[in-house]
Amino acid sequence: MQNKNFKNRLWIYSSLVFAIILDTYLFPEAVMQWKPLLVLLTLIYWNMALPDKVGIFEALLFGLIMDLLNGSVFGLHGLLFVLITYICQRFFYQFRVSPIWQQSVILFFLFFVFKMAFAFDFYDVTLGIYVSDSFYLLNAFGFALVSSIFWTPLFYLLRELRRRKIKL
Amino acid sequence: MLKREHKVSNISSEAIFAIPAMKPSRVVIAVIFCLFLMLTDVRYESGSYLRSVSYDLIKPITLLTRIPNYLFEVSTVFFTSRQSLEEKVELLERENFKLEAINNSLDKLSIDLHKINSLRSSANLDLDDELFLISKKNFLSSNEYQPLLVLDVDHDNNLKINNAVLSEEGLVGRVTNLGFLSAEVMLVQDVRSSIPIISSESSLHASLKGMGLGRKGELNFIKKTASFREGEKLFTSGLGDVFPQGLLVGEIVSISDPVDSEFLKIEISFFSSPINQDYFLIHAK
Repeated sequence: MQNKNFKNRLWIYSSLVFAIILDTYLFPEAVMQWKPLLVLLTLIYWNMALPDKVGIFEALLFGLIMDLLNGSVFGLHGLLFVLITYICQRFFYQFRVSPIWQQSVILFFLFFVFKMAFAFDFYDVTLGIYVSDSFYLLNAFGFALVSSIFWTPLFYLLRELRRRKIKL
Repeated sequence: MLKREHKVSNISSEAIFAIPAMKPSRVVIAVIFCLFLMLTDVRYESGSYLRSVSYDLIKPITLLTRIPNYLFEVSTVFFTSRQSLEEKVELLERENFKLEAINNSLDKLSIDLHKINSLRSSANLDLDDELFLISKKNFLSSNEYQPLLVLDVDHDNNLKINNAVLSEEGLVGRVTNLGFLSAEVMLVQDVRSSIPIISSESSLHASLKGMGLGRKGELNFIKKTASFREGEKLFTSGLGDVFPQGLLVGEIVSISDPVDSEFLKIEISFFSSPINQDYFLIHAK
């Protein structure tokens, strides 16, 4: 049983690490702000598919790794990952039964809010960046849109992985 | 079936979710923990210290990010036909011819440089303790407002925090953290970055603030009577003893006079962009 659990976790963690690798891969400047956050999408999927195996600890761990890799305020990714994971799991009865396009729409709003949290300059709140920056709003919109579009292929891909490799 | 493990449908072999969602108390603890980390990072820069240590630990991940590039190159070579290879050889021969021509002009340039160096020594400029280290890019974060450049460095170098980082296009940023084998660089485009500059034609001093990667920087608190001109190049002024004097930073692209502000809005285009560059110079002094 322990061996099976270990293998399951290995597959889940491998997919999360693979998503981080793709997230940190350097794309051209034009694409970089719009590229989807695959690690969060992957985390949401596992969190809803296997809520007993992927929870707060994983959200916090991979959020903090993203903070280290991204250079953002340490703990910000962790905080947002935990909150989004919680929201998804709290409402997963409603979320899971809804059609995939509705899931994408919900994720669009979640990712938009996620990106807007990075609009605040936590180091210099008084003179910092404001949310009303139209360029940033456009980027946040593009990021949320691309992330929600990526949800469908990623969902089927991870579902296939779960069905083939994860033994319950 | 063990406690907390979900059931499996006998019909579709799909998981049936009958377990409670994560406990709110744990979520609250995690949120408080994250807020504590954020506050200590903002107040005491704890994240920076942690990052400088952890870059060495997470280096394998950054190395793995190079695999897609490598695979792309290998597959390109594999699938390239002989004819296209011949075309490539022809193109490279032409490029080689061009490079030879450039080499000749570089010879002339090196003579000029030699003259400048002799001029410097005659002017008694103290450059003995200055050292430029070539460093390779490890990775660049996609954080829009606080982009981080991580460079590979040797552990036995004499680098210090606040050493300037340059490319052939000009100033890139300054070292903010040093790990055992890596150095973290705050880019000039970073919103936390502020550089004392001097303009090339009007010789006016100002402070240049970054506004994020892919965005134009801005000069801070410039009075409306200041005589900056569009197209003027900006160099580091050396004030504050962080950046050496005379490094090219950017160019003024627009000057506007907003009615709701007592200062001019001057936008700067940075010359250096770390995205398309692999090697950098660290000015270790």
